[in-house]
Amino acid sequence: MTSAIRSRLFLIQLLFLVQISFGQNITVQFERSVEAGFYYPTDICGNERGDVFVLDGMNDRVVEINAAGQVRSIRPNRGTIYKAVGIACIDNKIWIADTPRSRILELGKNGRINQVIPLEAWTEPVDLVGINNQIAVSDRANHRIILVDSNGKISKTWGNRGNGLGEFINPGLLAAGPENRLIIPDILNRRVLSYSPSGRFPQMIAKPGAQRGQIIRPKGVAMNTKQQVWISDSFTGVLQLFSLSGKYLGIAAVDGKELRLKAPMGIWLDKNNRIWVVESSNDRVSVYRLRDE
Amino acid sequence: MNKQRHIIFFLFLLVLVQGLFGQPRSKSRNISFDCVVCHVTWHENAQAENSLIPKLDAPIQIEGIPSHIPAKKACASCHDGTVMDSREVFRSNNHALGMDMTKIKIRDLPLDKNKKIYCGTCHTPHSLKPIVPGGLAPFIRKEVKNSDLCISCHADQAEKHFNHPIHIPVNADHKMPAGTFFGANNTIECMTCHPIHGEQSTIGVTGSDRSELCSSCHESYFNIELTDHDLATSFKSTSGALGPSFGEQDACATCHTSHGGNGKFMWAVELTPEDGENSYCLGCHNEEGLAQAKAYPHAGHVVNGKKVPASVPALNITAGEEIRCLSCHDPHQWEFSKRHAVTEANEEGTEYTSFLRLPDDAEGQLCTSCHPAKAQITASDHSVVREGFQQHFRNTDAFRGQCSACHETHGDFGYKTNTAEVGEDVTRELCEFCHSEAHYPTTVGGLDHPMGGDLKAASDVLHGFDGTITCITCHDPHLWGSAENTSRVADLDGNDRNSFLRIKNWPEPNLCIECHSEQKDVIGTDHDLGDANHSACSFCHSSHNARAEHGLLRSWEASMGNSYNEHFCFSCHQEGKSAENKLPEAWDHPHDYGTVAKNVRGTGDWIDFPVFSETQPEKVFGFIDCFTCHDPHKWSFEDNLVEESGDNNEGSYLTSFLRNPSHKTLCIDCHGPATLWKFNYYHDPVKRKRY
Repeated sequence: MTSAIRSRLFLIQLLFLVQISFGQNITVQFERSVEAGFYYPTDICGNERGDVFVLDGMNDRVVEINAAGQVRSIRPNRGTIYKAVGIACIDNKIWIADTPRSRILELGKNGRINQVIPLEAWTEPVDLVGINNQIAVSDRANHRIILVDSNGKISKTWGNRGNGLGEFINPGLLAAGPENRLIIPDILNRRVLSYSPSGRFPQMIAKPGAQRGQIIRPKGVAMNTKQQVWISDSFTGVLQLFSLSGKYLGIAAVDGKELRLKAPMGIWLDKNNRIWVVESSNDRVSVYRLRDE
Repeated sequence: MNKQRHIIFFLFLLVLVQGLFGQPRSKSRNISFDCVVCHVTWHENAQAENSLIPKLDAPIQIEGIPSHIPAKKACASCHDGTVMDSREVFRSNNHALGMDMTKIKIRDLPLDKNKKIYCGTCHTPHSLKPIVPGGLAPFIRKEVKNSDLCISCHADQAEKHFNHPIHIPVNADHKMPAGTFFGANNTIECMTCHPIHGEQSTIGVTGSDRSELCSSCHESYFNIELTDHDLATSFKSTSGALGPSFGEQDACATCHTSHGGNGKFMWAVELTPEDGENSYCLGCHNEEGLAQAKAYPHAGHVVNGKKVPASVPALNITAGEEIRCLSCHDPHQWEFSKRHAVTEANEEGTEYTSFLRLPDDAEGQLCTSCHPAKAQITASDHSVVREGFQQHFRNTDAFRGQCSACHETHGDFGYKTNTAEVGEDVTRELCEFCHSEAHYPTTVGGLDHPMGGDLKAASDVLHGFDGTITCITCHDPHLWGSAENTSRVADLDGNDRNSFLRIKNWPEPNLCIECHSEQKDVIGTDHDLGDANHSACSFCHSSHNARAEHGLLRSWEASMGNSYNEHFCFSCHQEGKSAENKLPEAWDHPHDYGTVAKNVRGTGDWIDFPVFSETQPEKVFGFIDCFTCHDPHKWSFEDNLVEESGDNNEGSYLTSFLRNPSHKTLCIDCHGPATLWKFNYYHDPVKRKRY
């Protein structure tokens, strides 16, 4: 390594460190909240039509808020998805990580279960996301990522418990990044990274810490059209924005004050520049309009 | 310069590594990576102005810094399903926080700075004792598998005898919800019924919502619903010692309390010393109680705590257990098979209902569980399935069970009776109810064995009614035959081998000689005429419907003679009959010459001889007949002179079934010194004429 390269690396890292301190307030405006009798909802997703689906696993149901704002329940047989944690909209289909029962399943809008993909025993799928014609599943029991191919077969698993790169302590709610990259909150390592679907080429997005630009309990992740990543922190209750390369861009604020939510978990960005946040402990979903990113 | 670059690069790497992994720093402790996962305030610059950690006025402080760990929010940040799922726990307020603990003896558990309960009272993140192989305790300060944690504060609610037991195995078919807490080896512990955290609030329940909890293990007891014992329904507007308003209670809570109850069934009211465990029932079934219409009369079947000698599996009674109301009754089920739906309150019971543990059906299941020897009645003519009973039942609303047809468990007498007063022979009334001309072909009431006599003087084996002879002295109505036990043929003609005789009377007439021991000498003599159906006694005598009252002589054929006795003797002692070789050629004492009986004659040194009328012995004046001189039961008045049956021995004046030697007969009164000669030739007409 030449001295010139080293110097450039040093500058890059210095910039990385400095930029943490330069995040700005990102003004958001409260637009509405959805209180549909939720009971610790966890995750949220949306489809191309603008319909939003909230997983209300403790109530054995998914709540649909369609583009017109109408709310209805999609309720499979009782107990089918009890205590499920993660939901994903993949090709206009609703997929659910059925955590206690070691499986993922596709839920039709009529409440029928159209497809069930069993995972290995002792697997506890937390969330899932469609990526490159596969479904990536985070597994809280084994601290790993599972890839399921289009035939419903497990094609690859990677990751194990640890705090090194490629390791996790409880991978959480997933999002798809550009170029088929996976954005993975590594909850108890208090960081968010992106990986290739096969677990290679890690890229730090957010790091642990108690200050702005750092995170303690990363939960929901969602990428906007500018390929920037919103991260919810269920301990501090804030929403922060990072670039894919790890640059801290700012924190959501209302009227100049940091937005503090109660246990924010899954987040979803719709086409109308709004961010939907599942406030789990508040049993509601809050919608904020992004004014300035 | 190159060296400086290396130093700078090394420092950069240090910063980078720290930045990547967020290694916190501490001034006073060795903080590991894992610590700050929960101890978020130990992050570097956690107290700085731009810290994102919210300010907290926590009652728990560690080194002066308010601790976030006990806060629900901190727990929820992981236990929201993504790391662990405790969402049910968070929604629960079952075990309240902030309780005033000044009045409770708490053992070895910490309180907050205000001396109140907080999460850390029970939980600590540093307690990771395995409770199952490979598992970890959920951050509990004490063992919960044996309720030790709960008992630290609630010791008085775990004492035996007053509370629902703990540490006992749960029913294998319990219906407790998935995730219910059980102790090691599937035992019931405090948290089995009282989930500390969770959506279902069952702590301290006493109201209508408790049924679901109780029924999870005691499902069978919920057959009580809608019966008269479901006080929440049957007495819903009533208040009383059991509660302010039964209608607001569940079916269990009106009678039971899980903690602080009385007796082994956790009864909600006091048990009285005189009634003991029967207080459960008698608290209502008394003349002033809620069930006064069914007040217990303190009569009938014993329920006074007498110990059962042998186990009765059918009634779930073990040997040594005391007989109580609950031995026969299950207050939770109106009808044993549970098929019978109670349709209205105060429904009159039957032998199939009445909260009986087993029915008193045609098999007499309930009673024969403890009294198996009585079960043979079911195969006899005394079975209630017999047509005679069925005809009777058509016109009555009586209990029709095998046992309850005759017995009244809670009656004053133990038997069914409509007319008997105290002191009257109710057993005889019961028998004669059927064995009379009006009801049944096997009638009695003709010339029968005398009743009412002093039985104690005759036998210490047989029993009667109040010490006197009655039907059940000789008969056991449950057992057709002691020699041939069963009979499934209706209306059998009985004999000495059966006939519901209490003691076997064939081939030896053991029943008869139990009282009539002095007649037993007939056995083995030529007068022992027993055959395949008759003993020595019953060949000549009939206990019921005899032809002659005296001696209950069975019957005789047309024969010579002047009295029943003589007719009877000549039934055999005539030509062509069994005793044709002993035909007295002269036998009748002239009836012109009667004689007075012993009572009139006064005492003398002779041995008394009975005198008779045509039908019976006479106490004043009678005639001499066969039995005057002969005792057909005794071959000789000398005990050492015994005749073997069938010997047809020629008699002498010392034998020949004569009552006494001739020199002490009453004959001397009339015949004086010639008596001996007359006596010797009495049966010889030629010689008689000579004298």
